Amino acid sequence: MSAAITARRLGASVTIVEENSVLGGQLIKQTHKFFGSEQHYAGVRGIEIATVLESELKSLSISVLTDTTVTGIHNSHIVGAVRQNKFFEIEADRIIVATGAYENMLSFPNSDLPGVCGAGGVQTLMNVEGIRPGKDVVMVGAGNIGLIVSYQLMQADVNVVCVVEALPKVGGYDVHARKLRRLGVPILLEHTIVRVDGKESVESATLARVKNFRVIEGTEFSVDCDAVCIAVGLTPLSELLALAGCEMRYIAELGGCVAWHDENMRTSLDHIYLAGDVSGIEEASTAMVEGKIAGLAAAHSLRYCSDSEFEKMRKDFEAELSCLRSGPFGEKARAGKRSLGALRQVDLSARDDPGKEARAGKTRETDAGDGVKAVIECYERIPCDPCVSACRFGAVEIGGDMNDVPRIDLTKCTGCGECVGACPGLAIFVVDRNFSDKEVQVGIPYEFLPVPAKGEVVTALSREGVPVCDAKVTRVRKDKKFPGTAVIYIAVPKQHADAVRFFALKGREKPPFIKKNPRTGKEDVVICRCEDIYQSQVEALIESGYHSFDELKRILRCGMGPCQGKTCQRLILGILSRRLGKGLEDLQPQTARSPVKPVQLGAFAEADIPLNLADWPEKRGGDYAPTDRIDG
Amino acid sequence: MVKTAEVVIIGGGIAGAAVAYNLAKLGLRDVVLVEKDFLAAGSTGRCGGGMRQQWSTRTNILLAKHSIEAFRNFKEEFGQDIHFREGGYLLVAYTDAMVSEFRTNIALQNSLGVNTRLITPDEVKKISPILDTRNLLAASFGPTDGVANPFLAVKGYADRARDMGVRIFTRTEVTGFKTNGSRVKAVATTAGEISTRWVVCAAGAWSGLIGKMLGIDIPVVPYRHQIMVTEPLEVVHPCMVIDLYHNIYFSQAEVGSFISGQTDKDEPPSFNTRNNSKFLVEISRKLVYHAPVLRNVRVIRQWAGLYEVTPDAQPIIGRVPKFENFLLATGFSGHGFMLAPAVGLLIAEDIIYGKPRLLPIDEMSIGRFKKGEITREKNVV
Repeated sequence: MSAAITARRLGASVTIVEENSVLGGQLIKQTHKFFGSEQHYAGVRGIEIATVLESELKSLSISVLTDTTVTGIHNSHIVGAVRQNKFFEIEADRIIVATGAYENMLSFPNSDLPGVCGAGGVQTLMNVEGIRPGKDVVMVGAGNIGLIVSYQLMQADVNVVCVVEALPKVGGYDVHARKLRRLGVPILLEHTIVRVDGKESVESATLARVKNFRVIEGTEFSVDCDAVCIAVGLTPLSELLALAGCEMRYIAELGGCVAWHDENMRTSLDHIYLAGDVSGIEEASTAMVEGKIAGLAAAHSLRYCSDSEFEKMRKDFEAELSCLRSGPFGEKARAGKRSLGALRQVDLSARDDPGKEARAGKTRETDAGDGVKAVIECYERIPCDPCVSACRFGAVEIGGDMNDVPRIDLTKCTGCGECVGACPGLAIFVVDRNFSDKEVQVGIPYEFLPVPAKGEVVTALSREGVPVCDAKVTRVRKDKKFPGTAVIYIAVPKQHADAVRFFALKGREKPPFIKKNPRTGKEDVVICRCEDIYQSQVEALIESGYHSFDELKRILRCGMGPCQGKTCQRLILGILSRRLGKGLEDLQPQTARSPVKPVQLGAFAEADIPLNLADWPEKRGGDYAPTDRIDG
Repeated sequence: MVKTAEVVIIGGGIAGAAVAYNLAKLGLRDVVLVEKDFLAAGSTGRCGGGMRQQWSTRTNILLAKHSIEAFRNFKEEFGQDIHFREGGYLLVAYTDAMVSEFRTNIALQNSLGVNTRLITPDEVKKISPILDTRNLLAASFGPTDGVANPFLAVKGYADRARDMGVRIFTRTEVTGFKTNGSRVKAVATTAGEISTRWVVCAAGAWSGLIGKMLGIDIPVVPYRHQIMVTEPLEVVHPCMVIDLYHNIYFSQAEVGSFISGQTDKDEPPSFNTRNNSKFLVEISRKLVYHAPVLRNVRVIRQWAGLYEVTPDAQPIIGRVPKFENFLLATGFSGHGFMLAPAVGLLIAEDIIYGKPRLLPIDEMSIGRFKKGEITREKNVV
């Protein structure tokens, strides 16, 4: 949508082709607030960003084809698509591919049991269809998606038993992890899932400690759960680009095979551009800016803007991108894009930033001092700054690089709590240390239902979700400016002022985390669910000399099912890589084939596309009469 | 890489694999097979898998008859299931001319012991109820024709050949030859040179390029042949349908998917194996015409391979005049898989016994193009 808006504003006529019935892609599932800056809709929930962009599309009279599935890019400028079960072709001067990404899967014994699903799938079920995936969920992966979906599960009244993460640290934003921890969800670092068990669907998951991605034997234990949610990363959905003939590269930092592109988002084919996760896995905010660059570059290449206009806009967009990517979380994207030669990182240190030195020290919980003050518990460099503009008194400062951590000037802070609702990370609290003789009042951002009533007694929780004491709700603040985020004030004894950061409603405390004996077994591991292919088969063939995906495909049929290898390709390339001691970048992925999504024969057969079928029987008379049938 | 071999086979498709296996089986085990990519990476790996005896020339019928027999016994002999299914082939006739031609062919086929027969549209309907037979005049039905999986067949041949001592080098490309008078002395490859007594070219669509290295004109031209496959369904359509009139064939594979393909007759020759949408529209229109119920079945994938087409659409098998130790097993014009068992045996016999024993194949020799004695095989899709 960002690409379309930018190209259209410059004068190009634009058509958006979207498979779903509503625009927005992943945004429509994203009930959490966005990070970034105001121009990236920071503080706005994904679903609302989709609506804003869509109304902008409408006002620019951009033609939108929803419920329309692109099946391939053929003959260079022709996009094939199916709408209302009819195939048709669009000829375009420029094609921008912004197809996003798909989820990586894990393979472990019984991973094909119902109840094992991807985080994106869970998000769709829950936030689009309104269906809970289960009652007790184990989340695998503590990247941003795993953390955010866990939080959303808890919001939907699903118990997240625990989050497991193979790495020794949380991969996602610290603020997301904190949101979960204070709900009492254990985040088990250096842990992985070993297997799941159940009769007809998942009943338990066996977990274990890992070191350098290897399971430490003897550390296995199981937990009861009825669903396991896999959030172990995304792969760019670049098959359309491969099909079009774009030069493809495997770049680990970008999440897999991407079409080579330059800093203007142009691929090796002059008329094909790309933007968003399909060009490398990043955040939605960078996807929007990449979209703008692709739209701009495509329009410029068609002479819809002058060179100087192009340069000016490009510089602005690049500065935005540089900003978003300059922190530690942008490191992978920077490395990936750099290896393509598609990085034009603007040096942010050169910017005027008088407050930089003053911000060298971090705020601490205990810095709050006397009176009513905001407490900002945001200690990690992430690209985000809505707290700055939320403060009418100019008490919050970040400076030129939005990745810097905010610093609060307590002499200016009035404790009004505006920033509490504005913070996308829910990392700001208001503490009134002089609330009464014995009690302090803590204001907590709260995104759950039901919202407690004033006077209700709740269980105050620590940052780790551990009950600290009982507390009475003293104030409930619901601000229209921050829909979905209430600020609940509770009174707690003074000694707990720095310990209490959340609360649970009485009778709705989180069930305890119980470790049980591990399950064991010798089941083979399913690798491809479309074609029922198991790990032992893959390994046996590799052993006998089948050393590429396409070779294995011919024998095992992996990648021949309806999903065209979206699940198995990564798993099989992983096995090949381990067995052959080769890097993934040295392994040939499978050849992309159209249609990229299954299409009914009738959709092609009934297409309004003239064919030169001279011998078509319906056109003939004379010697072509059924009465000529022979007998016997 | 080995330095010497009795026989070097160029090409790891079904033809090369069958030659390798047959040589070893007849006792010649110092055989090296070189393949520039991987086994079944070329045309065999893109083949629809059909096999039939319904041809219009004596030699093709006999080669196919022997081959189908071999595929029928494949599992037993090789221990490799190749999903062989004897569902029959229906060649459908839409004109009187086709009907009379089929009658002639059937007579020839019957005389060679192949039990084909002309059947009525009602009989067609009984064999496959999904077919729309309203415009059909008749069909030539060969009940012992069938389908199998070409990739698994290559694996079966290659595995047994290896067991007997054949060495297979994949990702090894031929770069040239050393010759001495009327003999090819050595084959140069990307992995080194191999001195050899015999060379067999089973390089399919790339045979012309191999011929060029030796100054031989091997008249094979690559044509793109496109195929599509649907999602798997319960098997309801046992036979392969060939419609020479509309230029389409289709069958339902063992796994339940419908497979259908054609070569676009308006397309010039090339090594292009990318896909276009024209094929999907065209083939779908034809398929839905033949079996309207398929309208709601989803296409999963299309791909393309190369037909290596000769001037008469017949294979080129046997020795070449210029070099006494260079043999060809190529030019199959889209039906190399179904002839491979016979061709593998013929080439092995030619090398070991000095001439083929299975049947005389003089009419398949490359010399026919010079003499101008060519009979075009008409039954090609």
